[in-house]
Amino acid sequence: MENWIRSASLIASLAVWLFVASAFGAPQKHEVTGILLASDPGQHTITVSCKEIPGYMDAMVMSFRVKDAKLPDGLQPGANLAFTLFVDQGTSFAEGVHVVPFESFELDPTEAHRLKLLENAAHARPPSDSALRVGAPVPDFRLSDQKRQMVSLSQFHGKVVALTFVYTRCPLPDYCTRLANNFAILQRRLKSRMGRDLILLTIVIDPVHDQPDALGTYANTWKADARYWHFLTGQVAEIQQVCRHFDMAFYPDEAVFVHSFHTVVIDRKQHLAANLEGNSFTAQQLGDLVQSVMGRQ
Amino acid sequence: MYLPSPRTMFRASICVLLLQVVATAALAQAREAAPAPVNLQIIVVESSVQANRVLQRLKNGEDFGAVAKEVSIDPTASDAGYMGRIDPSTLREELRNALKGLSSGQITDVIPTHSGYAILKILPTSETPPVQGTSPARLLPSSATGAIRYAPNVGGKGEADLAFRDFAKPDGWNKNLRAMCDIRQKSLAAVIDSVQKSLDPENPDGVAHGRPLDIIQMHYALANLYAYEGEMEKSIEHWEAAYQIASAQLPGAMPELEEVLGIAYLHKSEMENDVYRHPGNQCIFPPVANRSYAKPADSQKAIEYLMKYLQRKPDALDVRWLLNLAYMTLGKYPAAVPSQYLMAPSVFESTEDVGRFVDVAPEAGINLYSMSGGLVVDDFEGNGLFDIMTSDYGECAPMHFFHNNGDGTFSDRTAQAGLGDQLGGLNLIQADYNNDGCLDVLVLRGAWEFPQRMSLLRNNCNGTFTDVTATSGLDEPIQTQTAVWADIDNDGYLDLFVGNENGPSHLFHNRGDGTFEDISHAAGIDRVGYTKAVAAADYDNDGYVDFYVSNLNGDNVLFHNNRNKTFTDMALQAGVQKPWQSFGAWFFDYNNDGWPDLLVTSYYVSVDESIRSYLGLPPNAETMKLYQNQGDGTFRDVTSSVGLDRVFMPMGANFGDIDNDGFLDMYLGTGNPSYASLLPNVLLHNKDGEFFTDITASSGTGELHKGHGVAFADIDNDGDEDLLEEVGGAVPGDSHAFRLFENPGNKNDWISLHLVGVKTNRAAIGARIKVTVQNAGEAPRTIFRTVGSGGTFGASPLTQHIGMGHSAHIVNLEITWPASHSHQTFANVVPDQFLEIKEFAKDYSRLERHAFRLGGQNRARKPSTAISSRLTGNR
Repeated sequence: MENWIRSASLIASLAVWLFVASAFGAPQKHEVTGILLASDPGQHTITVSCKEIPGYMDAMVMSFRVKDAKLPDGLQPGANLAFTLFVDQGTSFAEGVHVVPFESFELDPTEAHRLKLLENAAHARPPSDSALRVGAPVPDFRLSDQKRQMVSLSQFHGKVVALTFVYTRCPLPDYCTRLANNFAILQRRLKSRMGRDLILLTIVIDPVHDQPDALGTYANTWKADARYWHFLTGQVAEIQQVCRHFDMAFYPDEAVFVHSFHTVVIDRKQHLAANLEGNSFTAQQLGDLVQSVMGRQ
Repeated sequence: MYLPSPRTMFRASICVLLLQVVATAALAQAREAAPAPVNLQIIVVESSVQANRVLQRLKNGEDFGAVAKEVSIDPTASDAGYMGRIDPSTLREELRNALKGLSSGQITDVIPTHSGYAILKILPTSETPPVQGTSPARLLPSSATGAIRYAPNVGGKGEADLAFRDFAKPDGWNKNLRAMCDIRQKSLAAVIDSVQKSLDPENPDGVAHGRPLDIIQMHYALANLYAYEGEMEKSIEHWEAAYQIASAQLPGAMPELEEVLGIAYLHKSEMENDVYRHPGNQCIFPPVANRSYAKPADSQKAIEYLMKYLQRKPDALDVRWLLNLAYMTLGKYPAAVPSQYLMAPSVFESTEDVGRFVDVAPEAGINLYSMSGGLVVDDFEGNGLFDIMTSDYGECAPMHFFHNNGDGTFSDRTAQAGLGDQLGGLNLIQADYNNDGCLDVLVLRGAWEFPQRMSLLRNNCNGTFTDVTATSGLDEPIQTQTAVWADIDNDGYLDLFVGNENGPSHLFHNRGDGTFEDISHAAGIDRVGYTKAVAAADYDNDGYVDFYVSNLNGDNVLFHNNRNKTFTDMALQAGVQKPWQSFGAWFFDYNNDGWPDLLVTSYYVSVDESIRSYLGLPPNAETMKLYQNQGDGTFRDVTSSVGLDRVFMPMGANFGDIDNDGFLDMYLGTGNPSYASLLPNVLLHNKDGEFFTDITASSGTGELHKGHGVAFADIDNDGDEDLLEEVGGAVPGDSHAFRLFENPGNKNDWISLHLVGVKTNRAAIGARIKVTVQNAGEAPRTIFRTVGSGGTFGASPLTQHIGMGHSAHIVNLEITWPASHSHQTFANVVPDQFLEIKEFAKDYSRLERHAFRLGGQNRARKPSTAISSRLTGNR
């Protein structure tokens, strides 16, 4: 709660600061990127967890009035946005708001994308037809955690669940390690809410090697509190089933896995609140998004 | 016995002296460079502004650990930023550079790094906060391995395997070799058809109407599937199409495609110029002469694309290297390579020369054109001649049996031997499991892919083999490429340890009646790892054989034999858990002290890392490891002091003594499935058990294509070990001709010992040999060998060829037999002959062996390179 209050007060103080800055200076224009937390088409506003704007402002949550005639279609929480921020004479607004789809040219995500397309072509199915849309109810699943306890999604009804996918032998720091580390940061930042309001689930995509002992060691790396942060394994078919809900793809490639990256937020009613693709968002942005979902009525 | 003239002796001793100077200088340099681990703490934050604030707080005296806990985004944050005792050379370059000149208690400035902005502190050794959790992920963001540049996937292995996995299969398919071949062929045809349909603009559900990136990737997938089959014309057509779309609509995708097109054109050029079927000297690096391919057009296209890439990313060492190779195919290396991208021949020069090896496989009638696979060189017919047996990774390709005709030529007797329906298999290993005096073979399948059945092929002692897998109890599908035969309980029958990539490893106890019992769980050996090598030796000389297990992406395991058919992991205590990402492994006594040492190769699919090693740049990847047995149950990591702190990407590898000096050398077959992986295979000479020198260039063994099964064998009975290698990649379009590199010879003495067990298993696997030798003018020394087939990927004869150095007198020859714990000692054995020694026998017997010229009449009787190098060699 205190963090949420801190973010809110940041928004307020920033507004004052922007006002002061712009009252004395020339009109300013900044390119902003961030993760959408909420949008209000009626008020024509968006709330965004912004990345740092070098030389202008630190990363933070801000609400913006949008000057565009219409907000982009399909604007969903978790979307990666880009827009231009105008600050002038004590007012500010966003213009040219658009969604930037995840498009990586790095080896691994590219290959995962290619294999996914190939798989779809082989089965003559359109891309991503099995993935859940934001707002859809998330089907229950039941997997085993690092303490060998069976864990079901449905047992966390009434709490927000953040979920991601890794495998413990992953040798690349930007991929599984980064996504798991995001949760470690989340666990520290929202310590007082863990278990009460928030559950973290990390599902492994290499269940043959990632059995409870390996999961325990891995969980230890992140000082995961096993009461609130479950590392889950099961049969390959069960895991594939969960992955399909979130458009998560993984393929064995020699000794490693080629895979996509998804970080999912599920709301208290167990509906999909957001599905972040890729690894380019920060832990702070993810934390802001989770807090925003926790703050919903 | 050869007695050198005083003149030769003088020349030889000068050479030896010079070599010693070079080796000693290198040794000193290596020792100096050996880094000391330091106690480190780290804070990483997201922005430079934040980092400078943190730095100020630390300078104001705030506690580093407390600040780390509060603000750090590094995985170590919850451990107060404590990283542990770290060898700085294993850190990312920017971090290790920042530590230079810093002493205990000091902190660095802000270091821009990959994951954010870092500040490091060196802690006094006494301050060691407790850390739990040893997962490598904890240090990955600051580790150099996180900065490795991996090779792109060109060749379609991933695409073809996905199609195979997705294809509907009948029950029991992975116990049926023919069914697996069918699935491979049908799944490939089906997936190519569906991708073509998806790319068809007429198809409303196809990808043709999707995002540019989707269309690019679908062309890429189709290009890769054609490349898999070696249809480079069609393949390049689709990569060119992808590149067109990228140029027009998605410039971000262009660099990757430029690199891929460069690689694809180079592969096409090699194929168009018949380099894979008839390689000759064309793919030996460094090149001996400037000779251009007859059809240069594709190499020129390769250069065009590689240059485009380098204009964007001039620091990409792997692409620079490929550019050098492309110029080589035009006969223009090094002269025409743009100077800023040149990798000079001097980089690859050898400082030693044992003569130049020449490939005589075609003349010898070994006309094998195969994908990667296994190789056994041994006497399967009991006629005193070493035959050649191979397997092929391709699910539709049979094994081959090349019968040694005894006149320098070989005949393909695959069908007569009953091996024509033995399809697939990445590795082979021989043993006489039923003690009938005829060598049997185990075929290992499924590596890198999915569980498949093995084949145990019983030698019928009449030139034929029978598949007894099912009746012996070994037909459960396993995903494997590695196994070792060893008698774990000294009952005289060889047991079988099989490494698994996709589940627990298996230990099969030989019941002695032709059947095996799986005792993995009871033996405590059923660990799960991505196991790439299992090796056996009695490392603590307690009379019972132990096992080493090398895992890719995981700690390695040393299973100590508890003498009751159970094992205990001693890897941590013994200090042999690394490399974390390892492949081949073997025990050998590299320094002849009577204690088996351990070599473990690292495996990172990065051409860039190998090139860094050649250029003398610090590696980001782990290097291979040489662990010297200390004789007290522990090992010492001597990798850098013996000059092996390099990264090579070896797959198949083995050891032998190529110059008969009594010290074991090694040959590493390099590569990975991608066509991007063109690296010389590597021959490393063991200098007196003190240092390993790269003699690839001077020996002419730098085959650029994929090296798998490697064997050292004196296949022509002329007293030196020749080098045999099954060359070829993991996809049909990367098939290659077999190599038989004939040893140019040397003037050193040798002895060949064929051991026959009586109480001990008949093939004498695990028997220990100790030869005490006195070289003219020197003090006596001992040479140790253990009977086995050598490395873990490729099998040398069980007959032990032992080099003994110049003018050698055998003072003593001792054999120790593991099952009977009996010893034999023979004095005054004459060198340079072939002997058979039977367990318990009072005397040895001399075997009649006749040397012959490899290639026989097919080779022109002109002064060969082999003979001329004998005159210029260092001995």
